[in-house]
This record gives sequence, structure tokens and C-alpha cells, in this order.
Amino acid sequence: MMRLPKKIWLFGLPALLLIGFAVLGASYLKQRDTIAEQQRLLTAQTESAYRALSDDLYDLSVALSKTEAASTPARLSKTFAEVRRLSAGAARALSLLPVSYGDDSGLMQFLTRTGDYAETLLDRVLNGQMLTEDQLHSLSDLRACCSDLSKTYDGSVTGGSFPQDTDFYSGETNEENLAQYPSLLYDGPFSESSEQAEPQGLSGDLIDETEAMRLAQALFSDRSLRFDGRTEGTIVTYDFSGDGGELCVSITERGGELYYFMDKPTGDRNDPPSDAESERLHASASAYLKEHGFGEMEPSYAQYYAGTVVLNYAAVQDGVILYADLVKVYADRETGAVIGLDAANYRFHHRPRHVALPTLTEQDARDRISDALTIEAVSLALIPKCNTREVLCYECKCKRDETFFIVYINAQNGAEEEIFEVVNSDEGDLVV
Amino acid sequence: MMRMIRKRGRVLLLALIVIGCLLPVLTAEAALRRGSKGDEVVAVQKRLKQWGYYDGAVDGVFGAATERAVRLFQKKNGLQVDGVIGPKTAAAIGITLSGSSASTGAGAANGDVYLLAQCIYSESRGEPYKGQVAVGAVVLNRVKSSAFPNSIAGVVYQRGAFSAVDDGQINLKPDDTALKAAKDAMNGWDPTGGCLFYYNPDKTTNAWIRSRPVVVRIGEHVFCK
Repeated sequence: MMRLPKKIWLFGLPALLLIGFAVLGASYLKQRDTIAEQQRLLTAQTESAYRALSDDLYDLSVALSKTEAASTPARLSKTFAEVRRLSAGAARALSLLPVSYGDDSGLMQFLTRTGDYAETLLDRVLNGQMLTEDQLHSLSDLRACCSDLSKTYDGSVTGGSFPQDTDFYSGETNEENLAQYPSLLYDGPFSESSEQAEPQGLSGDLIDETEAMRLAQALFSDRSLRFDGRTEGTIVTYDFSGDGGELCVSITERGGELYYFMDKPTGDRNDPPSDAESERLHASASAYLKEHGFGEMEPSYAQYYAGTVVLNYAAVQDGVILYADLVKVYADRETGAVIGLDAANYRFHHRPRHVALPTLTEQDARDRISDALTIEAVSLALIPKCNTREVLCYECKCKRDETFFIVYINAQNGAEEEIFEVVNSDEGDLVV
Repeated sequence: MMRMIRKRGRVLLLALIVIGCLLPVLTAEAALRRGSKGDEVVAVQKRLKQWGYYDGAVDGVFGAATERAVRLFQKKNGLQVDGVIGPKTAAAIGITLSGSSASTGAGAANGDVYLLAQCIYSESRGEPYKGQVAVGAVVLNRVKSSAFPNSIAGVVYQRGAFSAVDDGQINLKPDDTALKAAKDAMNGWDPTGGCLFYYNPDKTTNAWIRSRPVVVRIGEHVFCK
């Protein structure tokens, strides 16, 4: 065996250790570079979103200004479409910023409502109506506000002084900041009137916890329930549970009505039910609704998952389907029994409606349906546009080849209010 | 002198071994390979067994049989056949490796429902079922609110909104309970009475959120508007 000179050991050891530390050092530096690069990328993305927000706010103020200048319906509707697109773009950019950058949720609300308002006015223009004085005023307020906002945001972009990243909802209240945004009077899904709407489906006296317990226990006489507390929501409820939380029951404080109950399904089937099974489940759900005082209800679409079928029912008044007054019935695939019921929408909306007589006849509505579609059934329905506005429509179930559509024709002015495509998914029929 | 050299030799060997052990930690991605143990291996074995690649025991020990199954899976799925579960294979199997950034495959579930389930699972998997539906309902209430982005992805990924997005837990694979909770929430069940926020009072010091009037408490979470 060859013997190595002693000197190699003497110098070799420190040299190898040195190499070792060099490798360690290099990988540390590499990691540090990677982290720094990722931080730069994130900063770049944030700044890009910030600039996009600033640009969109400026363009938005210009587009709003043009709505005040436009005089033909064609130009007005193009400009409103532009306002919608820009407010959605600005909202998207804002959502990519840490929340405190956008000052608070007030700006998001302002952008959402501006887009929503533009959509409402766009509908109006498309239906041949002119803008009112009040609406022109609102547009002018919106323009002024966008212009101010744009200056603020543009100022920090050109100065390169982006705000510092701070915590989400750092503790400031946003109420005072909300004051700087103009309030809009209109009915749309994001309007103040719709978001602050009061429930109308409940009457009667307020009940106490003992009475609520008695009512809940009467529904589930064979189960032992315990009181969990109250939900101080838009509709106040007393909440109960049984069997270690598997059964949940909520009773409304006003009127002591069943708000919802949910129980655990027996199985976990996800396959579509056969026609016979579907019929059986519908019969069981309908009987349950009748027994519990829901009046005349019309079944619509169904979904099935995790051992359950969810059947949607809407209330009916004098042959008109009230789609806002929705009840969802959960039935067990194994036993056919009703194991859940969600009446939240029904309790919010259900009341006798004053339904105006339709101006259009059913034949008028049929005539307005696209020639590409074959009409299979027509009925009258009141469809919700938001929490505060409903429109009387002819609901036309149509078919083109193998695709099903539901077209809603406004029964007063003949407008095509809504088109849904019925999609057969793995989990049931969905309307999109 | 000889003795001293030998001693130096041992020190040298030790130093090399230490460096050798440290290097993979510093440079390699997290991966599961033969000899790996634990919950992630259990998850892999379960999946491979479900899909018929693996017929051994689900014991959390990555042995020869597991490696064979992984190779077979990789071959069938057009992945590099090395018997090691790196980020790509993990994503194809639908698990997330701790320490790697591979996201889970959405599988057959509808994208929105799946994302909602991921949010529910990562934010509230220890909560009672009603509390899990409640977290999903808060996300959906935000989608419907003018003050938040108007899509599920927009709400979930809004910067700073959910801690599970910040710490990466959002990429965990949701279990069946979270998926069902997501579907129940999508169907409209809202145990929160319309809430837009929730927090765990034992973990939050944020004064603003604590000052909001409480609507309901479910499990460990307090819900408010």
C-alpha cells in the first residue's frame, strides 16, 4: 500500500474543510438570492396592480364623463359597458393589493356599485328609456369621485411612494371613509337598498328560548336537543343541536318558524337517481312541505351528492311561481326520508304579492322566443332581480338539439330578462 | 505522529459526512422515497391502493412494494419513472408534500367547489361540521357583498384575507367532509346569518375585528358582520 506524504494530511484537512464551508456558504447565498428574487417579484406584482388600479380609476373618470356627454342610446350603452368593464378591472386590481393599500373595503364597494349602477342604466337605455335628472346627477358625482381618487393614486405612482404593506383591517373603522363615496339610489344586486333589505317573510310575536325549544322539540320528538345559542343575523334565530351536533335546528325568533334543520345522511351515494327514485324522493319532500304548512310549492331543479338529494321548491301564488321564495329540501338517498330543510330565502321573502296583470299574452311571449329554439312549456313567474325588485315574466322552457334553455320574457314590456342554460352535470341539473 | 494523522483522518471523514448530510437538505426539494415514513406515505398508499396500483398494507412505510406501485403509477401517467415522489408525481397523485409548493390536482370536482373546500379545510378542519359550512358561507357572503371581490377565487386569494393562503395550507387536499360542507354552503346553507368575518378569539389580538358585534359563535370561531 502506498503511503501518502504526511504533508498532504497536514494541508489537506484544512483545505477540505474550507471546500466544505465554501459549498455551505454558496448554497446559503443561492437560497438568499432566491428569496430576494421572489420578494422582488411580489413587489413588482403589487406595484403593477397598484398602477393598474390607478390607470383604471383615471379611465373610469373619463368614461363617466362621456356618459354625461353622450346623447344617442347606442353611444350611451357603449359607454356604460365601458364603465362596467373598467370598474370590474379596478376591483380586480384592488383585490390583488394588500387590503390596507386600498384604504378599506369602501373603495371596493364604490367600484362594485359603480359597475352595478352602470349595468342598471345600461338596461334602461337598451329598453329605450332616457336617463333621469337624478341619474345624470349621480353620474356626475361618480365622475368627480373617480377623478379625485385617480389623482390620489396617480400621485403616489408618479412619486414612486407606494404605501407600506400593513396588516389586514389594521383596526381603522371604515365608516368615516365611506362618507367620501357618493351614495347611489337604484335597485341592483349590490345596491345599498338590496344589501340592507329587511326580511318580509316573518310576522307574529317574538318568542323566547323556552318556546323555541318546545317548537324544535315538537319537530324532533324522538331526539334530545340542546340549546346552542342565538344567531343575531338578518333573521334572528334560536339554534339547537342533537346527537353531538349531527342534527342542527334553527327556529326564528319572530313567529317561531322553522328556519333550517340539517341531519346526517345514512349513505354517501353520488350517482344520479333513477326516475322512480326521483319520483319517490319528490313525493316525500312534497308531503313534508305540505305537512309543515308551506302551502303550494313547485319543484324545480335537483342536485345529488354525499348520500343526499337536494330538491328546490319555489312558492306559487295564483299560478305564478315566486322564485325568490325558495325552500331547499334535503332527502336521504337510502331511506327516502327528509333529513334537511333550508327555508332561509322563504322566510326572508315570502308574503302575498300584488301581481299586476301581464300586458303581453302568452302568445306574445312565444312570438318573442328565438326561432332557433323549440318551446316546450310556458308559465308565469316572478323572478328576483335583487332583494328589492322582482319582475313578472313568462318562463319559457325551450330546447335546441339536446340543449335545454329557460328564457324569461318580461310580461309587461317583452324584454328578454334572463336566459339560463340547463346543464346536466354529474351532480344534477344546474342552471347557469 | 501516526496516531495524530489517523485522528486527523477521522475528523476529516466526519466533516465530509456532516457536509454530505447537510447538502441534500439545503438543495433538494421535499420528496418521498424508499425509507420515508409517516402520514404523507399513508396518503400515497391509500390513493395508489384505491386506483389499483398498490396491493400492500397501508402502513405509512415506503418499502419495495410502495416503490413498485409508484413506478407503475409514473409509467401509466407519463411521469419520469424513478420511484420517487417529487412535486410532479405528488401533484398527479393529489397530495401536497410538506415543504414543497406543489398544488393538489383538482380532480373531477368542480373548480369553485373544490377551492371553497380547500379554504374550508385549511381554515377550519378541526371545527364541528356546522362550523365548516359556516366558513364556506362567509366566503360566499363576501362574493355576494359589494365590499369584496365578486368571485370565489377573488375572495379566497384577496391579499391578506385568509391566513391559510399566507401559510400555504390552502393547498392541502380537502377531505370528504370539507367537500360536502362546500357543497352545502354553495346550496345556500348559511349558519352565520349573513356574516362577512370570523375569527378565533383565543388567537386574534386585532382590535378592529374584536370590536365588531358578534352574530354567532360556532365551535372555536366567532362570526360577525
